[in-house]
This record gives sequence, C-alpha cells and structure tokens, in this order.
Amino acid sequence: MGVFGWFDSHLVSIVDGVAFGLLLFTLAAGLSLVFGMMDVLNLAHGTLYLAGAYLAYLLSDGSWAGFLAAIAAGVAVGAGGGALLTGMTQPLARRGHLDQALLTIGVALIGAEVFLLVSRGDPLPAIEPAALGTSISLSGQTYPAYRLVFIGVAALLAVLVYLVFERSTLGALVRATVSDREMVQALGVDTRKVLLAVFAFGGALATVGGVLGAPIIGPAPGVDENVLVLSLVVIVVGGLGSIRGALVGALYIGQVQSLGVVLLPEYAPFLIFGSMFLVLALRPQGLVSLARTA
Amino acid sequence: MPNYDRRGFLRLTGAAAATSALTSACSGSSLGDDGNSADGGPVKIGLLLPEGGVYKAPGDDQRAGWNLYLELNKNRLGGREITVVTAPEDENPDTTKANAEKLLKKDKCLVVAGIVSSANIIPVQKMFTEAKVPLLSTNASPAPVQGVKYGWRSSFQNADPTLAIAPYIAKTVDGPITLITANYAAGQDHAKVLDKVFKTIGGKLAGDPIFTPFPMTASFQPYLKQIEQQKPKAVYCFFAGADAVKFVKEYEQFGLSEKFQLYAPGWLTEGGILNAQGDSAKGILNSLNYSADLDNAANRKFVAEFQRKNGRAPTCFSVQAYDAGWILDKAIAACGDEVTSERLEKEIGEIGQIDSPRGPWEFGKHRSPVQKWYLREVKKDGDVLANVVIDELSTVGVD
Repeated sequence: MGVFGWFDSHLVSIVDGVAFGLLLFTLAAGLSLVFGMMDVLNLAHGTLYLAGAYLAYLLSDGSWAGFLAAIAAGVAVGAGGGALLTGMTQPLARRGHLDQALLTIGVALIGAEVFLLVSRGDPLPAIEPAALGTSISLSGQTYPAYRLVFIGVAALLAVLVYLVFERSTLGALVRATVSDREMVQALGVDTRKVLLAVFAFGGALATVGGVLGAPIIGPAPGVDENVLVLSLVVIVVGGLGSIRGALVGALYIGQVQSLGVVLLPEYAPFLIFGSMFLVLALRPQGLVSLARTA
Repeated sequence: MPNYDRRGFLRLTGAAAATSALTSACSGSSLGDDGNSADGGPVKIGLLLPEGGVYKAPGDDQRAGWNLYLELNKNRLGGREITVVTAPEDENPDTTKANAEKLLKKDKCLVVAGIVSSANIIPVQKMFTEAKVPLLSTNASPAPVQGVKYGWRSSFQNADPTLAIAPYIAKTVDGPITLITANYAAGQDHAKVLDKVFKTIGGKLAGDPIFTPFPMTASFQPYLKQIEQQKPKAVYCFFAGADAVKFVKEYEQFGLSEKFQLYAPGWLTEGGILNAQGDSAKGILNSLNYSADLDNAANRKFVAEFQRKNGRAPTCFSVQAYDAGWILDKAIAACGDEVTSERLEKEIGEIGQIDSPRGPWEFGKHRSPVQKWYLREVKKDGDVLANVVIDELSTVGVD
C-alpha cells in the first residue's frame, strides 16, 4: 500500500479529525486570547459552549430559519456572557489567578445546575438542518454530510478570525494589548474597551461553536467540563495568547483524537495527555510560540 | 514579552481541576421530630436519590415511581403512617456517605431506599450492614454487595441483561460479534459475561473487545472503524447517558446500522436518552427487565397513573423504585406492632413473590431479583419512538 493508498483508507479519520479540531478551535481561540490579554483563565468557557448547544436544541428544528436563529441567538448570548464575565473578573484583576479561577468555576457550577434544572438531566436532541442530515460517500466510506459543511463554516470562521487578529489594525491593537498593556495605555487607548471587546468576541465564538457543534457534541450534563478540559489542552499544546497557536493546537489534538486512535488503538486513553506531555517536553513554549512573533 | 508565564498557568490549571473536584452537595431536608415508630407513630423511611449531577435523570424517574406508590396508598405503608426523610445522593461517594450517615444517626430511619450509582453503594452498604439497618437499593447493584446482610436490591445485578440476551444473540446471529463498551467497571463486567456465556454455548467474538474512554469519548469515529475492521455479523455495545446518545447517532451516521444489527443492554435507549437519539436508534434490539408496553394488569394501572401524574412514560428506573414501595408496604405490614430495623430485615427476606408492573419476581439468595428479561426493539409506536417488547428472554438471577 503506497502513501496514496494509506491516505485513501484513512481519509475519513483525517477529515473527522479536522472537523473535531475546528470545533475545539472555536473554544480555544477565545480562551487563549482572554488569558493572553487579561490574564483571566475563564473556566466558565465550557459553559458558553453548552449554552450554545442548548440554544441549538431550543431553536434549531431542522429548518434553515431555525438554524440561523440559533446562530444569531448564539452570537448574542455568547457576547453578552463574555461581557458579563469581563465585568465580574475585572474587579479581581489585581487579586491574582486563583481568585479569578474560583469565580469562573463558581459561574460554571451555577451554569451547570441551571442547565440541569431546565433539561431534567437528560441528554437532549440537537438536529442539523434537514437538508444536511444525510450521510455521503467519502472514498467509499459513509460520512455524515453535516460534518463536511461544519468544516467549511468553521474553517471560514478560523480564516476570518486569523485575518482580523493577525492582519488588521484592530488586530494589531489587540496583540499590542496582549504584549504590553501599559504601553498601549500610554498611547492613549482605553484598553478596558479592548478587553471587553475581546472577551465578548471570544464568548460569541464559543457559543456559536456550541450551536454549530451541537449535532456533533450535543447538549448533556458534563459536556461543559469535557470541552473545557480539551480546549485547555489545546492552548497548552498550541501556545498561549495567539490565534495561530489555538488553530495549530486544535488541529493537532483533532488528529490525535481520530487518526491517532486508529493508528494506536491500544494507547487510546493516554493519547491526548501523552501528546500534550510530548509537546511540553520538546517544546515547552507550545507549538506556536508568541515570543517568536513579538 | 508576554505578561504571563507558563508555569503559573499550569499551576493554575491544576488548582482549577482540584477545585472542581470539591463540588459538594448540601444536605437535604429533614424533619425535626423524632417519631418513635415502635409504638404506633409514623415509620421513618430514608430516601437517598440524586437530585442533581449526571444521575439526575434516573434519580427523577425513581423519585416519581416511589412517590406514585406512596400517593396511591395515601402515604401509608403496611397500614402505618410513614415519614419520608430525603437526602441527596452525590456523584462523590464521600458526600453520599455523609448524607447516608445523617439518615442513619440523626434521623434514625428504620430503613433507607434509593442509590443509583454503583460507586456509591459499596461504601454506603458497609455502613448499613454495620449499623444493622436495611438498605433497599432501587438501582445500584454491583458484585461486591451481592448477598451482604442488611442489603436488598429491587433492580437487577449489573450484568443480568447481557446474561439474558447472550444466548439469543448466539442463536440468532450467523457469525461473529464485535463487542464495544465504555471502559469502566460496568462495561468490563458486561464484556466478561458475554465472553463467558459465548464460551459455554458456542457464540463467537470477532476480535478483542473494543473499549472506549470513559466518562466521555470525544469522537467514536476511530472506534467505529475498528468495528468495521473486525468484519462482524452484529455488534453488542454497552453505553449510558451522553455517550449512549453519541454512539447511537454516529453508528447510524457512519453507516454501520445498515451493515451490522446493534444489540445492547436496554439502558442504551431508555427514557430521555431515546428522545435525544431520535430516529438513529430505530431497529436497535435490547434487553431489559421492563418496558412501558408490557401487557399485564399491574403495569396497565402503573403506566396510566404515572402518565397522569408526570406527563411521560415510566422507565425501568421508575418501576424499580415503585417496587421498593411495594416491598416496604408488605414488610411493614408483616412486622405487626413491632416495626424495627431487625424485623424489617427479616420480613423483607420472607416477602415471597413481588407483584410488580414488570411481572412477578422474587429475591434470590444474593438478595437481588430473580426476574424475567425482555427483548425490545426500538420502533415507532404510533407517533413516538419507543422500546417495544417483541419477545421474552430467559429468567435471570437464579443462584
């Protein structure tokens, strides 16, 4: 079996790894930027994803209109949630990481209980638009069509986010705030507005990720915690504080989860944390180091 | 330079993980009076069920079944007025233990019913056996508590559904089976039992059992590929909760449901989980001790009353808790004037046949049910998707 044959027989795993990676990117991007900029480790980030997944359950009824309504609601709820978290964490800015972590864990716990109350604790159905609910043939194997569309949409989101943050003037301002907040303040910029905007943006991205990702990782108790842990791994692997790092880390963990498990099934339970360990040992600054771009 | 350091971040992540493990439940309601039940006052019964967390759904189903029995009997069991003291079962066994201790020591309950999770019942049963107070489990029933004094279960033994359906699979499927299960104690038990039954009656596995990470498998795709590589004729799986939803959906989306018939213990498609799985669950054959469509007088009454009160169909969890009410009803009646923990322990043992909506059953020597298991198929029942009984499997639980 040549390289091409190998690629062909594993195509479904590779594609599914990309889908999963991009799903993680929608979470990790906001988490990483917020930590990089504000020094706030937002442990309620998984809650924002889960909120999106529940919005998909509530609004997405198989029609395009319902799907779009869920996305619009996701933007609003996520941005609002991000803004709210900014307001809650800023007074603690000088109190150190642990206090902020406790606060955001508290928010996550309250969020989880609220979701439990409204959902009765059952996993809930989240359906894709009916037109995308079929499966198609991918090099002879069956693959859900929605995931291909998801890859397209999420890749578009990733490119947009990348262009805004790494190529535009606005992005330069954000990156400058990440690197040296005092200097940016000295230039006469109100960095609090930049912080608020980034937190709201990160929140919206995570919640929209939840809406789009609901047919893949659906609304259920515990999902908030699981996606949070995965996205923490992604930003540790990718490197903190940059969009590029989040993207590289997410795609890497996506492949570890799919292709990695296919190739090394006996090591499946250790692959994620084993690969994180490997990256930390060989490249402690993460795959994409911010120092290089600074 | 960036204004953060990696070591600080990692330390923080570690601290965060540790803190999230510290979530504890507050203790439940308790009534202040200390009724003396030995001389005609109310009999005090503890109810220890999940009120939140990942076991909330079965906890709610069980509470609804228990409350229905009490309501239909006007809050009297065995002719005596009763006081129910509730306490929450937590995901953390230490918290559950503390709540159970409160029911024993502070509330002085004569008997306690409840407990959904296997991880909780092992330490709690030990406490009850030492205190000589009967614990009637409405669900959890792992191997270490079987046959232990002051312990009873109105549910099943963990691997019973597999024990019941394995001969049927071996007989029906013309070829080898792939086994896939979540990788934790319960999943491993099912794998062991299937293997053991197949060895004695001649069924065949297509390859090594496939174990998926627990508590959450992020993506089943690589495991589905392993199933295809084993080239089986059918697949047997054990999953619960969110994993059950994800597995069944992806099994269908990745085209496996057209190729390999899926068999499972009935919890895979029970209750609200089936609603989340939707049409992707159609055609799954599963084994359980109950189905809402069982045609007997006790069940027709039970289902109608449960529907009226809760607006949804009962699950196996509801009927197990309803039966706990029946058992205590008869046991308290048999105690006569002298209702004590020791008497209840004795009378539960002599209760004989239990007239349950799932069909009559009785306790075996292991103090868990000897009961009939049913083969159910997921199909449309009118407008809604349901588990419809299509055959009877064997009676399981005989010592």
